[in-house]
Amino acid sequence: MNPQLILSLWRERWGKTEDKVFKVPYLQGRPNLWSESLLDAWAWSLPGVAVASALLCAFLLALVVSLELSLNSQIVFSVVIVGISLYLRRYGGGFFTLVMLGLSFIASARYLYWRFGSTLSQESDMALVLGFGLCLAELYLWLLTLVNLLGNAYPLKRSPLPLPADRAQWPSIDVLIPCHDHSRVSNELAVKAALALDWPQEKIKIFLLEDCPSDATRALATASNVVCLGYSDNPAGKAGSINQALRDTKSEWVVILEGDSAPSKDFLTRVAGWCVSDAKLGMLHTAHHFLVPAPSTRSLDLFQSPALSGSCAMLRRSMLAEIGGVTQEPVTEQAHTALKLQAAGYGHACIGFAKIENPSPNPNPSPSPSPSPPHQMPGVDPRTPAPLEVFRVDHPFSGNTLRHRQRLAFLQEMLQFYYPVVRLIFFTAPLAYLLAGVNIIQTSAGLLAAYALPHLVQGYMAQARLRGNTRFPLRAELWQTLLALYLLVPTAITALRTKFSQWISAFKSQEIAKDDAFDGLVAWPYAIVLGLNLTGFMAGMFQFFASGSERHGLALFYLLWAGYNFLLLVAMLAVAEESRHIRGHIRRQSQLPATLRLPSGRYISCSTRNFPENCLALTPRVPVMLKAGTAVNVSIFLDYREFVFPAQVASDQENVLWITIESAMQTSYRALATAVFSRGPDWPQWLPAQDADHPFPAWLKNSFNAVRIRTFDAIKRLGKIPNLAVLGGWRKNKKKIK
Amino acid sequence: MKGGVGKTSTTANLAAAVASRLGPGRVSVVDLDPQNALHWHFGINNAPTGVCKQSLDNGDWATACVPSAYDVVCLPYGNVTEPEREAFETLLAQEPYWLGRKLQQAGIGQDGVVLIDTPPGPSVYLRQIFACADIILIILLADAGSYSTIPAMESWLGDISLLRPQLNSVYVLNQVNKAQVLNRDVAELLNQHLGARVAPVGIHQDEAVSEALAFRQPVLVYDPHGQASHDLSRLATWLIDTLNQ
Repeated sequence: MNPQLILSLWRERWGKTEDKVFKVPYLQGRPNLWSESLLDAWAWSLPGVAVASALLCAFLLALVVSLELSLNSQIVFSVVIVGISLYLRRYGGGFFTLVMLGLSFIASARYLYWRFGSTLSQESDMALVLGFGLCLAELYLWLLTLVNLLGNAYPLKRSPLPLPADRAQWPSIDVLIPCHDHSRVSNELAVKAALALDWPQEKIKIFLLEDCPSDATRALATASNVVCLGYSDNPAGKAGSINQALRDTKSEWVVILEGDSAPSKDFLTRVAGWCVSDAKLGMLHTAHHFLVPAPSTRSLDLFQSPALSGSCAMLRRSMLAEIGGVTQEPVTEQAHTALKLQAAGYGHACIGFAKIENPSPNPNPSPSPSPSPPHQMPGVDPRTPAPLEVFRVDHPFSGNTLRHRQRLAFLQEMLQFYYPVVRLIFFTAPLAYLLAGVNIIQTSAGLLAAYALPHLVQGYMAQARLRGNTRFPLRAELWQTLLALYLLVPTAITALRTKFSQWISAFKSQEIAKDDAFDGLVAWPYAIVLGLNLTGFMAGMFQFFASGSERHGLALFYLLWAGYNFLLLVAMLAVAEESRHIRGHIRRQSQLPATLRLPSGRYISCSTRNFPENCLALTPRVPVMLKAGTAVNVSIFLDYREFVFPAQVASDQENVLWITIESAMQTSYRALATAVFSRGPDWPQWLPAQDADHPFPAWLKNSFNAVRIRTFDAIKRLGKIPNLAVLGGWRKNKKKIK
Repeated sequence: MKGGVGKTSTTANLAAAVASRLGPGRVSVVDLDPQNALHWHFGINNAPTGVCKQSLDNGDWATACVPSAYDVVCLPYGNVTEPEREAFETLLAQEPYWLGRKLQQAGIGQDGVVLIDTPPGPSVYLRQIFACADIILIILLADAGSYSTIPAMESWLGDISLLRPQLNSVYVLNQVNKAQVLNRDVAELLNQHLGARVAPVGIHQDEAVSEALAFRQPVLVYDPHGQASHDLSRLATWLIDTLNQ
């Protein structure tokens, strides 16, 4: 999420004209036309052409990958393909994405072929073992990147389908709200949101589920006129009570809403079109987020992976019954349920628009703007050990009805889970040389750079092209690395014994509950690795100055590597030291303009901080100093309309005034809250700048532009530019006449 | 046009709000109300003369200008005797463009805004305004009394619009208090009835306005963060935008 995207969304939301400056920064030019004519060429319709060209390409690829080049030729080759990528990345369209992926593949494949073929030690010694291990780690990383890139190459861009005009054909729906472990207030708001859903009244039923329902839940059910289902005889947790509720409910489709989620008003009308039109569809997800699109892009990818983080889904009762209800045993029931549905041959889809209200960061207690990992980190999934577990319990590769790409999705997830181990290898690899003098990459620094640089640059550009719109590649790298060791323990345990999954689940929630546990846990292994790197760096410096000049190149290479590790580790420690970002409220909160009527008859202009909480916090423009219990009137403005509520001051501290709305006005206050939040999603289904990438940081681009403009200014003063401008204008005119 | 709705206070406060947008020396207020109260709002004590006397002497209105501490130039009505007032009104009745001509002669408001305060009801002063103003702001309270005067005002405005169809007239609600049911309902009714002719910003009821007058300051200076000040600033922005259209 970047300011440009937000601005663009804002413009679209309020119907502002799209300024050229804010357009998606991809060009549409002659290369686009070429690519289209290439794809539409008549030759493709001839029999055998596709196969023949595929064979030819495979042959050429093998040739290019295995070609041995001298240092100079390799440099020329690298410059050419990086240049092509830099040129093509400016153009929009899936074709160029694929071309960039292809170029990245070539560069990386060449690098790895050369690494395995020419850089390993010739003798069977320590250097061979360590060097081979490093090569394997690199191969693993490359495979992971490749699978990731393939999956993201073509976003499916599913958008809502219209429902049939005849309302009789709309399916009947049961909304199940499991209230386990959620607060009364959040349950209440979930029920209110469910009641506000646009759907024919006779076709929707709402159920509250809880093991041994508490009085509060029962009261809530009675007050909102919904059914409370409790199964005190068999407390089976969330999944269990959903399955029991499935027996007691009848509708065609089941929507499962967490107690802490609140769908927007038009959620069902937007989602259900797919359910009606596709009879094989068994499960439908929507994105589980409001402003941060990253975590769910996975569900939109080509593999149709089950959404691992989304906990709100629409399921077809008959198909769910066929697979025996929601899976109960493992940690993430969604993934397993989706997998079972897929295995049974039914469809699973995710629609890419925001459904749930903003899990907004609470403005109150967090002093630092950036969140610290692990659990609510934007951009990176916490990666619960689900897929590995899926691998062990359900064996997706042996399930015979799964499609290949679905298997690939699980492969991708599984590969992701050994990431921590590999990271550790990269952090410790240079130490082998710096501390023990074992040279694990036996080649010259120049050749290594000529092979490795295009591999890294191309990979980075391809990543940026595919994911750069939602993640800043470098920052994502930092976060992932920080998570790596943290996840090592659960990963190892899951790999060994699935039965421990319950224990991991408990471990996770314990981590969430304890504030400082995470930071300490994560920081110390990195501190050790950091210390090792620092020692290695010093030793390397000593060697560099002590040894003869013939070994300078090699020492310098390892020193740079250790230095890079050092920077990365320090950055990570800094991140770990950041204070935890506490999300005090799960719900979207609004800052609405308001005014406060004091007992003296004066009015103070202010704004709300946590609307629609019952205990409303206001920020007055000037300190007001009111005693607790003072009766005031608060007016809240919505557009040009004003709503007045009598209230009492609860406390007044540090320029934040907490007031409680009089209980007689609670109903109107709730109604206003519903009016404020019942609007459809503010965000379009496919974000306008979703395809934009940001491989370079803004300061780099800006300084480049500044230099360019200065240079042009200088030339202009020399009087050359007017001629060029005239020439340019003339050319343009000529084109127009054509 | 209606009495007791806070015309003079609103004129003074709005002038101060516009001046805070436009800067010093560009906003003037002219008091055409024989009650001669406008200068009080700007803390001006003893004006040597006023527009009434200057007009009778056929002098330059520029000499009647009194600078205030709030970037607003004030032209008070002046302390006059009853015969003088009558003579002035006769003069105005004879020449409907007197006001516009005098302002032009004195060079007042050439590069700015002039706000003119009038006495309630139809009068020779109001006729002068109708002849030269760009926009007429009709201050109303959201109560039954104000509501009952609307038909009369609409008929005056109808007559005027025959002469000057481009003259813009807008109703501004003063002392809005949405906590009172009657106030809220009348405001709603006026909005339905008059539609876009009600200014988008009403001024909230706020004790700070009365207190500011007691301190002889514009409310924007007295209580800059009060709701009334807030509303007046927004009204000033809206007024400048409307005039620029």
